[in-house]
Amino acid sequence: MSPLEHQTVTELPRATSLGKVLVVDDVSANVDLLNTLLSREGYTVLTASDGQQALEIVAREHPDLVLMDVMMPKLNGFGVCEQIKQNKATRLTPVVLITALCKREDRIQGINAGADDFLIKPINIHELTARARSLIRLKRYTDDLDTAESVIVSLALVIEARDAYTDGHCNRLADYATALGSALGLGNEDVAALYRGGYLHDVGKVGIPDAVLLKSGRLTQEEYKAIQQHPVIGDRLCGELRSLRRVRPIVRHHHERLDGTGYPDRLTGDDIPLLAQIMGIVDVYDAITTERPYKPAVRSDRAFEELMDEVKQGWRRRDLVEEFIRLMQLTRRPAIDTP
Amino acid sequence: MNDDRIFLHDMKNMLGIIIGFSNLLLEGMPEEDPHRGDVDEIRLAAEGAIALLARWSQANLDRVKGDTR
Repeated sequence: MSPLEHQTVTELPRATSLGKVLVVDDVSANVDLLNTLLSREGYTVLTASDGQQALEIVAREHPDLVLMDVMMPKLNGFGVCEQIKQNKATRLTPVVLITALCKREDRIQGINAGADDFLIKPINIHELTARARSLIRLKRYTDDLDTAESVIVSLALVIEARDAYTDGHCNRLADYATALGSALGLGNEDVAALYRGGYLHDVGKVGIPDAVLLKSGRLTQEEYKAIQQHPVIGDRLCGELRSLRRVRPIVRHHHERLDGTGYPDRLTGDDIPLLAQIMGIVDVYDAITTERPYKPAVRSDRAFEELMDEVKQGWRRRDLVEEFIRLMQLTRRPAIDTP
Repeated sequence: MNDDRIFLHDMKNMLGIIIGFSNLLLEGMPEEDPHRGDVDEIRLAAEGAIALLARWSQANLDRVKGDTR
């Protein structure tokens, strides 16, 4: 069978397919066998005859599962698996290595390469379908999580779009917060949470009526109470997503103040999560330096003074604010020169 | 990888194909098909060969251990 023939897709109507499986083996009879077994069970099967071709198909077709022989010429199964797992876009694709050998060192090498499972030849059809079903179920679950997260981020951007005055606010906050987090020496996961937090911190505003959110006059006590609910609503929205667990404290606590006069939980001092304190500082800075319905934009040096006033009032940590000001002055971001 | 391991891998690969396709044929054949017994013989022979391979592999391992003592 020619390499081109190997790239064929046994198409089934999408609604009836149990998932898309890529079979990789340099021995065409093995590919044919797995193709027959899996197609019969209801899977859509893609095939590749070498490692390079497999990587191309994974990148292009995003299969739900890769079943791959270990011993292949040029790039072997371990190498392909390693590359799939190192690529951010494909690392959640489950890979099952198929081998005719079952020595412990082969398994260890496979685990080190990131393989999710192993199958030993000759393949038992029941074992094959059980593993495929289980791994594809897990893949679908993580896909759903990703989708849910992207829905929430879209929601946050819709909120930003509702209010012409906050255009680009999320983007700037993600930028400021990650810069401050990195300057403070925080780890990659925390910096990533700050990035997401920049987009999601006000997602709860979806639950606040336009009449209140966009009001240019002074807010009544009732309206102010309604606004204060947005961190709680946002926290609830993110609550079910494991991938957002580090972002939730930012969403809920970015309006807290060290002296306990913030909202929604009136936390004090170190009880306020550090990432939320960082977001609080950059949020205030951006609110001051951009035009809002109730006030014009203010120069960044004036914003620095206001932030230092908040330090003196006991609302913010001096070291965090000073580091932020130092950073902003050093990088001379555009907001500094905003009239 | 040494020659014995490559041989073992390739043989198991081929025998796996024989067993796999034999099973596929058997699953598609009616119980009364006169060729069922023949296909079953092919499958049994391939399974027997895999068992023989395993014994050969173990004997080889024992021999290597004996040589290094």
